[in-house]
Amino acid sequence: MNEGELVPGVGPLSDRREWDVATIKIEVPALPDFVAPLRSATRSASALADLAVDDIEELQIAVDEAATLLLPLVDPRGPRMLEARFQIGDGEVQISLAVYAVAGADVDRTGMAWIMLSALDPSVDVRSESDCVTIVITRVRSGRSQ
Amino acid sequence: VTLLVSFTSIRLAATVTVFQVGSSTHSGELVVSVVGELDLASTDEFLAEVNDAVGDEQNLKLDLSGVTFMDSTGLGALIKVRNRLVDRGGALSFVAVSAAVERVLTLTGMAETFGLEPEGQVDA
Repeated sequence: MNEGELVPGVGPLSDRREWDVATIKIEVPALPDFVAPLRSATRSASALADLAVDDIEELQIAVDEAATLLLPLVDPRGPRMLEARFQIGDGEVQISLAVYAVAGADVDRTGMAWIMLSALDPSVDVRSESDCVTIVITRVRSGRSQ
Repeated sequence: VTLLVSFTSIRLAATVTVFQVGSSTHSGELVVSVVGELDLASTDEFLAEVNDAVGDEQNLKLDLSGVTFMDSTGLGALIKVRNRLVDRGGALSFVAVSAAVERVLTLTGMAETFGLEPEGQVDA
């Protein structure tokens, strides 16, 4: 089987698909039980981007840790939803996770969740804008330059 | 020889993920087996089940070969269990770990703390 082929002889997904970049948006309740569906979506988005298996598994952990960091920040008076935005390209996925947060809330950068997230994505970006905190994770297919 | 096996907790999460914690006594040693995802949604349940199973025991063996996903909260739960046993003069050891568990222990530099050797093997 050649590199990038999901099915022997069918050819790489990037040769068959009819799109260059796609965006998927998912909104789930900001509760621990709904982090698992985000992990599943991460696996699907990563597969569409033709990421390697190790990349996919690490990206799932990164998304999980990002959600773990964001959930404690959620403003109970707000919509209490966690929004995930997956931007999928050929060999690259960028995932933005965002919540409406308590005013002035920031991501805890001292705990194990941050240690794992920053180890999995050294370029992880945290953005605080008005009442919203967003974590942006990017993974490029192993062996492909950014 | 396995004398007793009891699955005391089965949870069906929103994503149809089964999480199970079972305990058994193997050659006089307490073994707790975990199947499923050890994450933010399941660690409280994991800790409660392990605490119930351990009781006043000093030593515990964990079989984590059935853990399909683990994150930092799962790791934190393992550290809590380990510290509790060490404080009473006991120890936590692994019967086996899955690749998902090994990945997190290696990533965080905690593999050696838990006696994990390369390729998922554990110290005897």
